[in-house]
Amino acid sequence: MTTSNVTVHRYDPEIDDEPTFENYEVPVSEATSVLDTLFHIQEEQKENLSFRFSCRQGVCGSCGMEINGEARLACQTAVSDLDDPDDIRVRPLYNLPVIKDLTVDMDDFFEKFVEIDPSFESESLDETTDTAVIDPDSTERQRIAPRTDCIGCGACFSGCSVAGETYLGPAAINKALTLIEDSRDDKTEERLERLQEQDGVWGCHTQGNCSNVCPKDIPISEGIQYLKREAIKHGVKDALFPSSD
Amino acid sequence: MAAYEERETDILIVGAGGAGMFAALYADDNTPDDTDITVVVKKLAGKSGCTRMVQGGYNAVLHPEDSIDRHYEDTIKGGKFLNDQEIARELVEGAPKIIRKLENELGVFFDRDEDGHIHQKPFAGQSFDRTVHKGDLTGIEIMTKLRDELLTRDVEFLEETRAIDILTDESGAGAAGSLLLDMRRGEFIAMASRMTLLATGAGATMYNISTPALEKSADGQAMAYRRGARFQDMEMMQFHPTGLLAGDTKLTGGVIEEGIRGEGAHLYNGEDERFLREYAPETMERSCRDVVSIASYKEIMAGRGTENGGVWLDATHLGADVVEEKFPGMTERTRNVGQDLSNTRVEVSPTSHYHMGGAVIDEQCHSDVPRLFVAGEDAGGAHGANRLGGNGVVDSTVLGKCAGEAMAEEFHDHEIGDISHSQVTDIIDRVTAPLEREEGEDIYELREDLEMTMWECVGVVREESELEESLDRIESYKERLERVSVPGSKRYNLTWNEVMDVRNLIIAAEMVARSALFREESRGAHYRNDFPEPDDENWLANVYVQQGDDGMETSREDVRFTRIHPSELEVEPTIPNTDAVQGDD
Repeated sequence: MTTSNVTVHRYDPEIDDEPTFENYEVPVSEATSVLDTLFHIQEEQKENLSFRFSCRQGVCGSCGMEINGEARLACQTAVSDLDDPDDIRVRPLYNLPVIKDLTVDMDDFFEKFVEIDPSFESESLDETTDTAVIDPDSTERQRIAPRTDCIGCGACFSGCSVAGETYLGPAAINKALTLIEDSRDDKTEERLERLQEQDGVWGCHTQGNCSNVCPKDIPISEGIQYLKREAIKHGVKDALFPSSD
Repeated sequence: MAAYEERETDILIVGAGGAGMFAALYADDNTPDDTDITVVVKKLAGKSGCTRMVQGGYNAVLHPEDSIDRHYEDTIKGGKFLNDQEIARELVEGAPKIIRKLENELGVFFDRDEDGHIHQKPFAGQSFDRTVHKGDLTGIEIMTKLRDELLTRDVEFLEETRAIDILTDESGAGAAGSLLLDMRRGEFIAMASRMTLLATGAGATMYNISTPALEKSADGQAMAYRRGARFQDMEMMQFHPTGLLAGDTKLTGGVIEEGIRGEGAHLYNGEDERFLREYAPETMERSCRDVVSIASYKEIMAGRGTENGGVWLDATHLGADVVEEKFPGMTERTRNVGQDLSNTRVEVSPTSHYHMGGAVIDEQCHSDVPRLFVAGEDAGGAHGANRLGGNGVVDSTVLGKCAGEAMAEEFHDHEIGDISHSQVTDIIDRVTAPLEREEGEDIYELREDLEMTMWECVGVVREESELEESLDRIESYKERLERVSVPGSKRYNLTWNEVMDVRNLIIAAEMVARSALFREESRGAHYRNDFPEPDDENWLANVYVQQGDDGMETSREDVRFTRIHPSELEVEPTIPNTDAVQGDD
C-alpha cells in the first residue's frame, strides 16, 4: 500500500464564485481504481464530495470524468496504470455544465440524441410479426455491431474540441449511424437530412479525440467520416432527383 | 416548517431499470396523449439498476421445438416448487412477445445464428437452448434502446431524484403518491398520483460482497413495507459462486463468469485442496450455483479460505491463450485489479446476487396496498427458491409491462387526492434529522457493520443461533441509525443519501433474517446447517413477513399449486446437467 495525492475539482455553483482544486492523500494498492480513491475521500476522510457512479464495472457509463487530462471511466482506471500514479488530478467532463464538484448535467448530452431521433421505427415489423432475419456477417451488421457498445458515458463529448453549444457531437452521431445502417428502420432519410446540417457531421473537425478516449474503443471518428460520405451521396441524390421525396 | 413543492401526475413510476422503463413504455402505449407519466430515478435513467448489467441473456421460447410448457416446468423446478405459479406462467408466456417488441419496435440487436435467426444459447437448469443475448452485453443493448425510445415519448423523467416514502390517502391505506427528494437541488417534492409503481430493484447489496450496482438499497421493498405491504420468501437470496475479491475496492463482488468453470477451471481452498471433492465429487466445479457457493462458504467460514477470506479460482492449466481468447472481459476485469486470470489464480468468493423474495403481487403487479404496484426484483413470487440464469431480465420486462398496462387501465378509476401536509412534514423531519446533528454515528461504519452481519450470520449457510444473533445486531443498528449525523447541505449530498439507503437496507435485512430463521429446512438458495435437507412434508410453503403492531410478523401458507403439483414433475437432481453453459445475469 502506497499513497497517492489526489487533486479534486471542487465547485458548488450556488456558493462558490469559481472552482478550486483540493488535495487529498489516499492509500492505494494495485487494485485501487480512481473511483475507489473518491470513495475513500468520501467515506474515510469525511469529505462531502459529489461524484456519480453506479455499476462500478464499466457498464453504466456514470463515472465519466477527466483524469490527468483525459476523459475516462473512473471505475475502469486503475491508479497503478496511470503514467503518474502518485499524482492524480480529477475534474468533471468538459463541455457540460457542472452540477457540483465532479458531477455534470448530462441533459445537454442526451438532448443531442433526441435531435437525431433515436426512436427506431419500422412499418413492417411489430410485436406480432416474426423478428427479421439478419445475416451476422453482413456489412450492415458488421458496421453496426461495435457501435452499439456505446454506454453513453460522455467521454467522447468531453474529449471533442468542437462539442458544446450546437454541434451534435460524437455520441449522437454514432447513435445515428447505428440506425441509418439498420435496414429494418424506416427513418434513414430524415436522419441523414439532420446530419447534413452545418452542426451535424460537418461540425466534426476530424481530430479523432472521440475515438482515442472512448472506453469501449468505438471507431467514432471513422463513423462520422463515413456519414459525411453518405450525406454527400444523399445530397447529390436529392439534387438530381428532387421529385423522389 | 418543512418546505416542499407540490406536484401531481397520473402515473408515478419509481425506478428506471428494466421494470420501471417497461412499465413507462406500456403505460404510455395504453393511455391517452394527455396522461402524465412520471419516472423517478435516483441515478440516471436507463444507466442504473440491474437490467443494465445483464451479461447472460434473456430466456424466451422462440424455437418451434421448444415450448412454453417446457420453459414453465424448468422455472418451477428451478424454484423448488415455491413459485407463485400464475406469475411464473405470466413470465414465460410473456417472454417471446417482449423479444419481438424489443427487436421489432425498439430496434434491439440480438446475436444471430449463421442462418440469421436469433441465436439462443444453453443455460444451466434449462431443458432447451433458449437464452437470447447480445454477446455478454445484453443489458446495455436493451436499456440503451429503451431509453432512446422513451427519450422521444411524452414521459417525464426526474433523474437523481429519490422516492423517500409512499404517501397515503385519507383512509391511510392506499397509495396517493410519494415524497420525493430532488438530490441535485436538495429539495423535496410531494408528488400526488393516481397510481404508483415501485420498481427499484431490491437490495442484494446488504451483504459486504455483492454483484449489483451500488445504488440498489431495497428502497422499493422498504417503502412498501412501511405502508403495510406483505412480503414472501425473503430468505431466498441468491448467491453467485464466484465474485472477484479485489481487496478494499468497490469492484469486490463483481462476477467472474461461470463459464470458466464449465471450461474446466478449478477451485482450491487456502490449504491448496480442491475442496469440491468433499461436497460434489461427481461434478466438482461444474456443480450448480448453490452447491459451489455453499461449499466455498463453508470452507471460508471454517478458516480454510485464502488470506482475504475467499477461495482460489485457477484456470492456468487451460493455457493463457485459451483463457484470454474465451474470457477476454473477465481477464481484463482481473487485470484491472492487479490480478490476471490467464496466468495466475484469482481470489473469489460467493457473492450476493439476486433477491427471489419480495412484495406479494398478483399477475398485474398489484401489491396488498391499494393503488400501489410493485414489479421487478422488489416483488416476489416468480422465481420461488431459486432463479434460473436468464429469467431475471424476463421478470423485469414482462412484469414491468404488466404493471404498465394495469396502471393504464385502472388510473381512470381514481382521482388525484390531497396529500396530507402533516404526513409529508413528519417524513421530512425524520429524514433531515441527521443533517441537524453536529455529532453522531458514522453512516459508512454502520453500513459496513450491517453488511458484515448479513455475511456472517445470514449468509450462504445459516443456523438458528447466528440468525438470532443477526436480529439482535439489526435491532442495535436501528438505534444507531437514529443517532447518525451528516455534514454538509442537502444538495447532492452522497452521505445523506447513504443514510436513506441504509435505513431501507436495514428493513430488508431484517425481513431476510426473520424469514431465514422461520424456514426450518434447506431449499434452493436457503441453506440451514441445522436443517440441511429439504422438507417437502412441512415446507412446501411460502414464508410471509409483514409489519405488525409489535414489529415484523412472520407467517406461512402452503404453496398453492394452481397449475402443476410437485408429484407431476420428475424430481430435480441435486446436480444439474453439466453440459449446459452456466448463466451470469
